[in-house]
Amino acid sequence: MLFAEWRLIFTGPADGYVNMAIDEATLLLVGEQRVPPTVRIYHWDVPCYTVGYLQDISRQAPRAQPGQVMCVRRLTGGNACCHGTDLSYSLTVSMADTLIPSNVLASYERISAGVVEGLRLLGIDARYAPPADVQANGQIVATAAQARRGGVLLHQGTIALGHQNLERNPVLKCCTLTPLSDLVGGEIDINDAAQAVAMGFRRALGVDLSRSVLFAKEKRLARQLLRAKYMQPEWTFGSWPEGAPESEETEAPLKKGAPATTTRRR
Amino acid sequence: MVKFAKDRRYLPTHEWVKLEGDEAIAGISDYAQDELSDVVYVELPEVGETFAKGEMFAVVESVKAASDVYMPMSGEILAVNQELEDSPQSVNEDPFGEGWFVRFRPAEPGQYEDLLDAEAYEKHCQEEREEGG
Repeated sequence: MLFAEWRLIFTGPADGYVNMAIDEATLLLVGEQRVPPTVRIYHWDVPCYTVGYLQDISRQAPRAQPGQVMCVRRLTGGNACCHGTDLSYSLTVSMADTLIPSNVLASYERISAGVVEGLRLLGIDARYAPPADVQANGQIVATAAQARRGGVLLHQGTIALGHQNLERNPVLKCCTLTPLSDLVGGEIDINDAAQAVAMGFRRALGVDLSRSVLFAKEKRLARQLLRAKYMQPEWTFGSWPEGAPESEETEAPLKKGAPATTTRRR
Repeated sequence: MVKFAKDRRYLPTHEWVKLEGDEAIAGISDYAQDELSDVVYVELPEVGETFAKGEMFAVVESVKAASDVYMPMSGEILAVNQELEDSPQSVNEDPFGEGWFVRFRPAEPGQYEDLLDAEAYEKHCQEEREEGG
């Protein structure tokens, strides 16, 4: 069964571990067709770095250690991103859903159109900049990354609203975004931006995004992933040991054919 | 023009496998690399690991997308293509040749017959492309 309606969730501020755990929980449940395709809009309550799924930070970021600036590995590819004052979103959908093209670049263009439309609603003349960015006034103001796992596409993106209160790690390969506040000459309210981006996705995707919340099973799974995976330094900084649980539901793989465990070799 | 090599079989998730005696080699299809665009990194398993059919055994990262790669048949990894570490673009340039991922010993050779042949796989890709726009 494919859900006819998409879900729109505003989850407000949370830390990097929680935000990444929620996105994976949604991905797993979308893969099981237990929740509808989802657009989640969120932000960050403490500054943090997220690093790409395959990004080797052992050499790049000797200073990015636990106990310093929060740093968490994403499921999605690409380079590190600084978070704090930015507005982020994730779009999670079965790859069998024909609304989003299977081609990587075409899917970026389709999804980024929602961000472009949202920024235009804020009075910012934005345009898609392949492969993964959105530009305004010649500056990159938003970027994104994807994971394709178990037949599900997870697209995570972020939009720079203001300057980050995060000292840039000089050796961490990190995306550089120009905050919208520099372009409009003032602060942009994060709630206004969230509403505009939601409207942008509605228009660009042509779907009726039904305002919803995280489901109870989604929260439970996110809590499991939070403890068993995202809060574990090994997930972000070291070798995720062979056989280590991706979640606590290892006895019942979440999707037929997809393993409950993975091996990271970094 | 996307190629569909006829001397091997395919999973619907776009992995190919080719039998060579009692061994097999696997990689991702020309259609898959075309969909993913520029491959920038491939994470491969280690020699000696065993995987079940349909189990994730590698991750391929293209332009900002990290994608799982699934085992087309159950088996033990005998060799991995170390060249991909320095030349991941081989996956784009020659997905059926230089861009191979792993050589493995099939645990259940009969699984090969259950996979899609080139004609069926090409039809599957056409349907996917039409549906996905």
